[in-house]
Amino acid sequence: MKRNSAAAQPIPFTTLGLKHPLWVRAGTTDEVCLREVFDLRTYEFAPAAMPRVIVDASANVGCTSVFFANRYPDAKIFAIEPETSNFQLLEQNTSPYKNVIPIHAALWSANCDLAVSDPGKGKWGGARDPLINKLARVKQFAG
Amino acid sequence: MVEEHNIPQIDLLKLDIEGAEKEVFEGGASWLERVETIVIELHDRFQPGCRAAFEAAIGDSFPHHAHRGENLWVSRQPFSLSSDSRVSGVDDCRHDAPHIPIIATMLCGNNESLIGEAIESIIDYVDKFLLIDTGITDGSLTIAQSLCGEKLWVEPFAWCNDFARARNCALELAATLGSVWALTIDTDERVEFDHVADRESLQQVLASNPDIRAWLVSSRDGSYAKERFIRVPTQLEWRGRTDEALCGATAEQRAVLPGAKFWEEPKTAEQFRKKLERDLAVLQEETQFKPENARWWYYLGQTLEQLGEPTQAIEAYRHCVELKTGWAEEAAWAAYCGGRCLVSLERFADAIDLCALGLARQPASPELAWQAGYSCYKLGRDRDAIAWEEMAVSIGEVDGSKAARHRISFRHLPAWYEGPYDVLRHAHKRLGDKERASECEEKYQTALKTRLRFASEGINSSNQTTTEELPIPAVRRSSLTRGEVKRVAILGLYSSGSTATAGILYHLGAQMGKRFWGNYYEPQWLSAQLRRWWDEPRIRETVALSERVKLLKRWMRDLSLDEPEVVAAKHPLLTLCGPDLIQAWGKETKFIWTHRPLDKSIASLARRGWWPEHFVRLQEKLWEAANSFFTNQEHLRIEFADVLKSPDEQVDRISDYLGMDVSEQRRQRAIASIMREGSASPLATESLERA
Repeated sequence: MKRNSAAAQPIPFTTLGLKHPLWVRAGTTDEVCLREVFDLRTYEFAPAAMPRVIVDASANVGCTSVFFANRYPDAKIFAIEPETSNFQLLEQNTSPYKNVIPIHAALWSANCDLAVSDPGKGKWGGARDPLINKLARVKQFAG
Repeated sequence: MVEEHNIPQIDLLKLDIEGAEKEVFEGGASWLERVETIVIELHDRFQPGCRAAFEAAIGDSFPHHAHRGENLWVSRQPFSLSSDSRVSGVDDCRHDAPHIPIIATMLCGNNESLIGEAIESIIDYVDKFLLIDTGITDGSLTIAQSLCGEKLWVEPFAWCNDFARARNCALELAATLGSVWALTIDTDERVEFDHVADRESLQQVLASNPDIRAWLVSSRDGSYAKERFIRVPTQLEWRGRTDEALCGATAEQRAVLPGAKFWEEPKTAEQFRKKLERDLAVLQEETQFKPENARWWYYLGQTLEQLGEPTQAIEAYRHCVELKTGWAEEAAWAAYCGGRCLVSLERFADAIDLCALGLARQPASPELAWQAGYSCYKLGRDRDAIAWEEMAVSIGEVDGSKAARHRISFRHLPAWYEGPYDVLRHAHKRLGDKERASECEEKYQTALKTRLRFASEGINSSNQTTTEELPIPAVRRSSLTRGEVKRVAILGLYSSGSTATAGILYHLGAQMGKRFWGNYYEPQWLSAQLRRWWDEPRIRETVALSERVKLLKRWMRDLSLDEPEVVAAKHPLLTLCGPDLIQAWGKETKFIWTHRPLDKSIASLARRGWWPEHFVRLQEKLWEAANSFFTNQEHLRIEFADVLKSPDEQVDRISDYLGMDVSEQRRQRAIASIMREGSASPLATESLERA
C-alpha cells in the first residue's frame, strides 16, 4: 500500500461535542468522510418534522451515523455497510450509541454477489482504500 | 429491512452507494412510498444513468429539492439546508483536527530525478502534499515520503493519457480533503517565493482578494504565467488531454500572484522526446475528433516541428491558420511557425503565402512581415523584400506603431527590432544602393542594442505603452509587502491642468496604467469604465457604488503587482468617485486636486469643442463633486496657473506631498515634461496662444 505506513491503523478523533471518540484510519478516505461530515457539515439540514427513523447506506465507518446520533438522540438510525473492515470500525464507532443499529450488508434490488471494486477513477471506489478489489457478499435489503 | 425492523416510515434516507443507484432505482422502487427525505450522491461518473433512474423512480412525489456539494436532497415536505435551530449543540459538534488551507497537488509517474527539488521548493508553504501516483515504480515515492513526512498523501490514479482528467481529479480530491487552495505543481517545475516569507503570509496573499478563483504564477523571465493556485471546491475545469488549459474563470477571477515565480527544469533530450511522442499521440486523436478546434492543430504543428517533421508540421499549422473560428493571435503565430518550417525547407514562395494569410488574421505581427520579406530576399526579389520589411518596420518597435505590444503572447522580439533592418541592409546592398544600405546597417545596430538592453534590464516591453520613446521601468523597492504602495488619485475638471500634473507624476516614476488613452495619461481600461459608470457626457450614475469599488480595487491590484512606489490614476471623471476611491483604496489614498476656476475650465473646453451640448453641465457637475468632496478631505491642490508659472515648484510640492525620493534626473524630466507636452495639454495650447 502506498501510504504512510502508520496511517492505516485507526486512531481516535476526539471531535468537540461528540460524546465518544470516533475511530478512523488517518490518511485514508475515512478521514475524508470525517471532514465532510464534521467540517463541511455535509448532512446538516432542517427538516419539517424531527426525524424518527434514519437509514444510512452506505455508512462506511459510521461518521454520518454518529453525527445523526448526536444530533437526533431520539431517532433510530440504521447504519448499513457491506465492506468488512469498514463494518468492524462502524460497529466500534457506533456501539456507544444505543440508537444506532449497524447492519453488515448493502442496499440492492436483487440478491447477488458483487465485486465492490474501483473502476479506475482512482478516487472513491466501492471498497475504500486500503481495501481495493475485495469481494464483498451483498444481500438484498430493499423493498 | 423495513419489514425486519417493523418500520412504517423512513424520515431520512442517506444513499451513497457508489454507482449502484441505477440498479436500486431501475424498474421502480415501491419502498420509496415510505421515505420522507432522501439525500443521495449520484455516481453518473461510475455508472451512467444513475441520475435518470433516480429521477424516474421518485417522479413528482418529492417536490422539494436542494444541492450541497455532491449531494442531492429531495423531500416530500419543505426543508432547508441551514442548521436546525431546534437541535441543541449545533455548533459544538465541531471537529478540531487541523484545517488544511493550502494543499499541493502533483501528478507523478517515474520522476525520481526531478521530484525532489520540486517538492523542496514548495513544501514549507503548504499544509499537505497530494501526490497523484500515475504508476510510480522507481524511487519517486521514497523521495516524496522523506521530504513530505506527515504532509504526504498518495492517491493512486490509473493513467489514461489525459492530463486534464488527472488534474481535475486532483482538484476534486483537494476539495474533499478540506483544503481552500490547491497548488498545482509539476515534477519539472520549481516555485520561488521572493516576497512571501512563509505559509501564513502566503495564505494572506491568497485570501487578499475574495473574487479570485485562480492565481497565476508568472515564469521567472516574465514571459508568461500559469494558473497555479486554484480555490477549491471549484467550478473551473482543466480541458485538453495535453497542453491542458484551465477553463471557466472570468478575467475578474484570475490574477497574477505577487511575490512568486516559477521555472521549469530543462528536460534532457530523452525526456523531451518521450514527452513529444506522448503528446503527438494525444494531439493526433484530438485533431481527428475535434478538427474544428484550432488550438489542437497549433499544438500538433508545434509537436511535429519539435520532432523534426517539418512537412507534417506545416500542414497542421496551416489548418490552424485557415480555421476562422480560432484565436486570431494563435492563428497568426501558427502562420509564423509554419513559415519558419517552410523557410527551413527552402520553400520560400509558400512561406510568403502563409505569412500573408497570417497577417490577414492578425495584422499586428511584425514577425510575419519580416519572415515574408526574408523569403523574398532569398528568392532574389529584393524590391518585394524591401516592401515587406518596410511594413515590418512600420508595425515594429523602433520607428513603427509598436502595434505588436497589444498582443497577449507569442512573440519573436528580433522581428520587432533589428530583424527588418537586417534584411533591408542586405537587399539594398544587392540593389546597389549603398547609401540606403549603410543607413539600414546603422539602424540595425541601434535596434539590436536597444533590444539587448531591454533584455538585460528585464523589462517586459509589452507591458509599457507610453507616450515616451522608451519604456521607463517602474521604481523597484527591495522588500515590500502589500499596502506599502502609495495610491494617488488626480482629480479635477476637464482642462484644469490634470494632464500636466499626471505627466509630472508619470515622469517621477509613478505606475499609471498600461495603455494610455491618447496623450492624457488616462489608462484605457479605467477610462472606459468611468465613461460607462457616469454615462459621459450626461453624467448620471449607471453603475452601483459596490461595483465601482470592486473594479477600482481590481485596477489598483493589477497595477500594484510589480510593486511600484506609487500607483496613480488620472481621469476627470474620477472627480465623481472621491468616496469610491477611499472605499476601494483606503483612507491612506492621496489626492491631488488640479484646480482652475469653473468659468475658465468651461471656456477652455469650449475652445476644444468637446460635447457641444453637454460640456457646461458636465464641468459644473465635476465642479460640484470636487468642492463637496474636498471640503472634508485632505489633499494637495495644484493651481492651474501655477503649473506653467513655476513648474519646478509644483514638481517639488508633488514629490514632497507623496514623500517620494526623487533623483535630480527624474525631477528634471518631470519639469521638462510640462513644457513639451503635445497638443493634448491645454497648457501647451494656451501657452502657444499667449505667445
